[in-house]
Amino acid sequence: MSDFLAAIEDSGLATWIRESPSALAYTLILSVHVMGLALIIGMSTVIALRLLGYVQEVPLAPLKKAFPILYVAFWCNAISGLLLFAAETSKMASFPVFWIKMAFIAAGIVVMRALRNLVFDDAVLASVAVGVVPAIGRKLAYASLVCWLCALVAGRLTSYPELLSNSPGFQ
Amino acid sequence: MEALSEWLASPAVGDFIRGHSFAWPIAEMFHYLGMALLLGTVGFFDLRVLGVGKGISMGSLSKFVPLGVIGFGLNLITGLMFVTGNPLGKPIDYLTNLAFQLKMLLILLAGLNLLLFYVTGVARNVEGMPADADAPPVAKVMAGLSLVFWLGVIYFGRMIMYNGTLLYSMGQ
Repeated sequence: MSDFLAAIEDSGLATWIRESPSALAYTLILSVHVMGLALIIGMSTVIALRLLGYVQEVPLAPLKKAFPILYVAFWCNAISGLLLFAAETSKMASFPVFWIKMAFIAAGIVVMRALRNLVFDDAVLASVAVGVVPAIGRKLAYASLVCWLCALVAGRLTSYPELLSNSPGFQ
Repeated sequence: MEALSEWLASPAVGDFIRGHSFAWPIAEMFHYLGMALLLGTVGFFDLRVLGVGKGISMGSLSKFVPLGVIGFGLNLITGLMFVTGNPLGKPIDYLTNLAFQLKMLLILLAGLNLLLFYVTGVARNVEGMPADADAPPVAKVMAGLSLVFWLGVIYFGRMIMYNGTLLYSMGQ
């Protein structure tokens, strides 16, 4: 496994991302990753708050048009995240908090799909009175908030591995 | 610039950050959360003006504005903490950082854009229009600019610690 990870890290593309002084390399990929996470977490939060009863004037049905945007943002981040991971494979793979972040993202995506298919599905929307949120919608909304918040916290902590290993020092 | 830096510097905040290893990372988490809340709100608002998500009235969507304001407030507080309590230097390290300067410029432009949106009456028009209506072109231009400005704020914010890369790519 570690040979495989080392091979990724030593590849031409990964080396370029990591070592190029160009603003089109590591920093652009990192910036795209941050823009994507802001859209995913922000828009998911807006949707979740609506499902939990905040701003009930906003109709549910048109909110489903946010999902294609969320999917595009997710794929932007899957690709940019894969490239960032390739550049620092051995370091990232050794951080437990990185894998915890991956687990929360996987769960967040499952919840996002469930929201789209179980709450924002045309047949479901048509079967309940206008504006009424099915019970599963509230549970999924809480799950969505928890998953994305935990992914954010875990993601930030990948920059501070020494905090989790109890070694002193400011980075 | 020196004077502004001296005025902004807060040794108390700096000492707190240096004394608590969790302070900076936790402030960063709030900065990211605030960014997400702001961008999520702005994103929904601007995309609706641009024609995505017709069926949602702008009047109802504008009720989400407080969420964006909370996000901005979180980032103002944590951002001031980063600058005034810079644990590795002084506020001037930020003030003279090109990426930071461009980030502040874009926040200013986004603010001016928002101010124009409200004082010129465009906001009143948009918020009064029916749920399925198409927004006027001037509103669409403002919404497009808003998205560009805020994504630019994220870009240059992320570049603050990679200012050397930015300068290198500009040939300096």
